[in-house]
Amino acid sequence: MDDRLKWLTPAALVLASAGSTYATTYLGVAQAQRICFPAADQFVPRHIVFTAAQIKAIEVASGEKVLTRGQQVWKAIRGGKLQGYFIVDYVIGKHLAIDYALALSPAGQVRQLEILTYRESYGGEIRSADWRKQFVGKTSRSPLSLNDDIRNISGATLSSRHVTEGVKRVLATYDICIR
Amino acid sequence: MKQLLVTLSLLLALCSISSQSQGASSSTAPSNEELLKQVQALAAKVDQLEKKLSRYEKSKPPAPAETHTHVTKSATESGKSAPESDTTFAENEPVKAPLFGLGYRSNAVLSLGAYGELKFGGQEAPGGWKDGFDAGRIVLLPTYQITDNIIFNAEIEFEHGGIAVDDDDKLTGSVDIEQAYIDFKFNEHLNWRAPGVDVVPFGFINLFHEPTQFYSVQRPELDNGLIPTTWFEGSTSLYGKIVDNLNYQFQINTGLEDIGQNDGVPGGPYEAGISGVEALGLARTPVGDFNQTKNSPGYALRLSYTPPFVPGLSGSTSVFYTSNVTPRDAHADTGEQLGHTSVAMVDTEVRYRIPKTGAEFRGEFVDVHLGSPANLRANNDGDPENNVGDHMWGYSLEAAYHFDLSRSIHNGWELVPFYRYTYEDLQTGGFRGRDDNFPTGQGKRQFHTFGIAAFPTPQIVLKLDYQFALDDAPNSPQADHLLGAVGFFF
Repeated sequence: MDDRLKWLTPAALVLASAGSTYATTYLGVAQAQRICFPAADQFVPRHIVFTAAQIKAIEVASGEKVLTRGQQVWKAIRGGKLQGYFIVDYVIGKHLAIDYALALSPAGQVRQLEILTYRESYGGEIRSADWRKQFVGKTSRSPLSLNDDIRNISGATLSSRHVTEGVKRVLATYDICIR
Repeated sequence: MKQLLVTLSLLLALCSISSQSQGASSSTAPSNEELLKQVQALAAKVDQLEKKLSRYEKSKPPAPAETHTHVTKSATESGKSAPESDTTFAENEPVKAPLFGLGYRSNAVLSLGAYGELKFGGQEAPGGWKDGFDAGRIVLLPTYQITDNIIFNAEIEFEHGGIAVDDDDKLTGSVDIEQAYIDFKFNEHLNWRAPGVDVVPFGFINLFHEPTQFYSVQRPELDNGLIPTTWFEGSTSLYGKIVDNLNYQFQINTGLEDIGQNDGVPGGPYEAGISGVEALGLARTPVGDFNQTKNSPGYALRLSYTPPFVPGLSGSTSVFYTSNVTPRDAHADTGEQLGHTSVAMVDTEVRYRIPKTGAEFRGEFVDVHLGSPANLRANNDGDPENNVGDHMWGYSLEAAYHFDLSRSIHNGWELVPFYRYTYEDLQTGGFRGRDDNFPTGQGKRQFHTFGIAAFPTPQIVLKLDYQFALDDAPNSPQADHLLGAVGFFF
């Protein structure tokens, strides 16, 4: 009986707490927009659908494969003045998608990187503010290379590598389709 | 669609007018006033249909953007742009529904990853060097996201070429389910891994053992006994983030057992699970058919950290405890029953990649404390050479340097020469039990491993290494090896 209790008590505790289950979306699009551009009074969608030539150009410029047909882009506006661009993208971590948002200045410099949804069991360390801070100021001309200008997170290697590659691709997209 | 309906309506109206006029020609022709009324009625009908169509279209998800967008490189933003909706971009709409098929269909995707390692080379053996090949492991990694926060993961492993019923097929490997569990993700601090098969959160390599994670052909020596990698058990876990850069996993599992064979303790002699030769290499509990031989669960806690004040440093500390590893009906060769013994383990390891350089260092320390060594089978099996003291321990230090040739050569490889020193002592003092109690030196080992790992891409590694293995046993083979491997992970 004693052994059974040892097994069952933790399970019961977990099940009791399971009532508060919610998804692992850390930020919604609107929340992330407010965090990245707190002063903006308007976010105007400027979503892009790629042409075949643009896909090729982005792939050549970034060295990364384009897996989507377009890019979700918003202009952050304050008092009619452009504050920057807010871009939503996703990459595959180890198996599952990591949704993230990138805030760019009007000149295409990274202002902020926010992880919107992280689904996998391991590798969530990329949500750490210190790791994300490394992307601030990067442009399409930055190396954006793991273990070079971006630190690898041991134990979250695939997530950190793929997010870095994603940012590189989004910055090339800015150069080719948005600027 | 809208245009088609309007055209059809007009055609119908014209046909109707035409047929009415043909009919009327045989009788009384309608006046212009009547015709005007009919046209007005039809126009009202068309208007009504248009409104219906418009309502129908609004209730649908956004249409593919190609139908109303064509992208051109827009003029450089002057910073004075009005918040208008640019015609070169898609129209306004909320982003609840995926746009352009960009949204990840999270709950309907079965993903299949894989990793594997194929090895070849020579190993020192009592009769001389032995050359050969090993299809070490091919592993399939299915993952299915059932809902946004319920995820299925598994690891199906074919080791050493797999298995066959007939001996003449010459397959002597295994097929293992090393992981199979469902994760319930509640929030970033608390997630539950439902009872299933999972690796024990102890050390680094036991959790992350894909061949691209380490540079030697074989897994690091500490993971070949002191940590019985791949150490997987029937288990359930809680895991999550404590604070930024500090995560935990707490697991309750079936624990270890002091028997090195399946189907419970036989009446006669049987293999020890914990010994001074194999360490804990044979002590893993079976995961199948209720074949575990004891009731006491094991508890493992792992804290992993990436301290922000030392960029490039990652590490973890793990502890494991089970109050008993002695199987039911455990006995000495002399027939006496063996009592309980606990096992407590601690591991701490660090990995440090000096930022913006190729230099990398790794270090690990493992200690295993055995509560009552007198009750261990190895000390009561009539074999004095595999005896165990009251603890066993080891450490390793490794240095590697990453030369990334892709910076100077297009599609260049990354080359990683490395050296690792490992020390183990599996036969410390404190021998007890019925066997002759003297150390043979077999358990005191040192390994010097050096070689090179080449990464053509981050998903593929080609390895070559040499290992000097030294132990203190007078007649023990010096199990040096010269091995190569091809590893992959995607």
